[in-house]
Amino acid sequence: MLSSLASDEPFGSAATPAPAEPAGAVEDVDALLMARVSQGDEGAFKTLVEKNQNYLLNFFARMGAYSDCEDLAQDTFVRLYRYRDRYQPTARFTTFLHVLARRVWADRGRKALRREKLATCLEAEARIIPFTSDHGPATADIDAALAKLSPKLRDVIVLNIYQGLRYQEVAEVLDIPLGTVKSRINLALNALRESLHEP
Amino acid sequence: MNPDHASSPSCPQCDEIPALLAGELAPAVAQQLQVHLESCPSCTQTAASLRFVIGKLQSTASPQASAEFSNRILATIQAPEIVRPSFFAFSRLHRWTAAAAACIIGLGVVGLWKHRPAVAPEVALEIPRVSPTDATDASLTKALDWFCRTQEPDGSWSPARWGGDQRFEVALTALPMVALLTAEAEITPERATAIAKAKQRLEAFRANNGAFGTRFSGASYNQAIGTLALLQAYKQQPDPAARGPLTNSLAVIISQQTNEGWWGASQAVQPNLAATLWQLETLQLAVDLGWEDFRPHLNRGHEWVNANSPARDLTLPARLPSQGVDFFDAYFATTKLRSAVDPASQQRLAAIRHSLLEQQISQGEDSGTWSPDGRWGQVGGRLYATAMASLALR
Repeated sequence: MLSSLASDEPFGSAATPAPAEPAGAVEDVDALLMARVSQGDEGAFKTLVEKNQNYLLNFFARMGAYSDCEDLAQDTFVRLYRYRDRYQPTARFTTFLHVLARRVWADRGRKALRREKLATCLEAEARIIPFTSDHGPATADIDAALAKLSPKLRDVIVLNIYQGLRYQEVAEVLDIPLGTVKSRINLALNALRESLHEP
Repeated sequence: MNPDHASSPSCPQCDEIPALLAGELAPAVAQQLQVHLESCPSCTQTAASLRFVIGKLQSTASPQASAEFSNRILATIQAPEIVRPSFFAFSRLHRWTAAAAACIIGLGVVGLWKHRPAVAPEVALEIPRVSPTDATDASLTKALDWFCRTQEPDGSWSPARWGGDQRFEVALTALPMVALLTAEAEITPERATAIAKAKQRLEAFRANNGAFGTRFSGASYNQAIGTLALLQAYKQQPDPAARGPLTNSLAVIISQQTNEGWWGASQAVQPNLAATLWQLETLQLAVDLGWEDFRPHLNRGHEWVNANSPARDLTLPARLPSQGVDFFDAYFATTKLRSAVDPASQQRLAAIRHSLLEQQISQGEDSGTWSPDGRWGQVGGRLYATAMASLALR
């Protein structure tokens, strides 16, 4: 999966999800803001950032990022800005933003892998306090349960349960069939039921 | 491992339960599965177990960006390799600084903006306006501006200050917020700020168990309308962290529903049609947003309304606003009429809107408002009249 996201130029036509519904059927405030950003409206971009920053941070935190959540979110916004002239509102803006965020996350994974190979980052990573560690034992349990999931299952849980994307939108972000989303969510929830020791 | 948690459930329909809980099933399929759930212990247990897991996952706090986060991004994009040179003069940084100062509140809360095409001329030019007339837009603009002017510093609107009953502070903070959120009008920074402050105030009104306000004879209105406003905010900006508290508030609503399907104004002493309609309005939005578990309660409420007030056709309000102002009827009638396409319904919708436009106060301190002359005027005051009229004009 990561190999398909390896390009340093993540904004090719393949990165833009297929339309979830006919263009213009639903008003998308962020898509309108992007249109204004492409026309040089600086305030619109600031609005976009402030509107979506916590949402993006949540994505990276649930995906397993530690102290670098803000760096990853910043990278995503910068890529979004670079893409402003080519953005086409063929899908809901939120869907597109998650496509970018997943590419940033994938890049981070590759960099981490390279660091691991060089055996230079392990000690540093071990010293980093997880983002959610101060939220109590219950959160630690949830982090551990999420960490046990395979990347594919974690993807669908983060996008659907935490980020609130509909199944169809999850399918577009991950570029997989709707039925696969459904089955992965079922598998993931069953695994989480076991991990979280439901009373 | 609990053997009941086996990943291959004994009942094949168990596989559909996650989709049901996520609101992903077609209504007819969801309804069939709900019926099945009532008779299948395995599925019932699976559903309860999945609710527990999802609730636990969603119970964790969401991260918040640091204060300098957005400024850091802005500084990054202003780097030469990212900006388009023609747009960026030396003064740009100063403009950002000024904008940041001016918008420290407004843009910090823009998650609730409902940015209509009307405020983005460069975009609006390409998107044809469909329904609201210019007169309606102007009327709504005046009303929404009045709400912004009269909001209290803590984010509420004070009923007593505007001729209403202070005990309805929750409902009468929620109604202007809904009007601001859903009006087909420009969302200025002032309006975005007003919405965010109102949302914060409503969340402060809400107890941990999801209940709004204090118990009194009209508590169910506060519960329904307060929840409705926060659901509208969730609709604009789905925040997973908001789902838990919203579910609690919805649970309070259904806990007050009688087995027959109706609600009372306070405790379930006697049926109250108006109170029931507000609860159903809220439950309908919740179901639309994916709270599928509440559909049976919604259906039961509709069945009671249909069975017990058959003469009350909500598309035919007994009194037009010009014939003894009734903002409640205008609101519920226009809600129904907006989805109707037949000429008679459209004529009635136009008549109600015309009547409302004629009665809006156009001058003086109360410019933009409606006088609280009709039913519930003494309870809701000018806030209620203006919010309900604005909502009817959407």
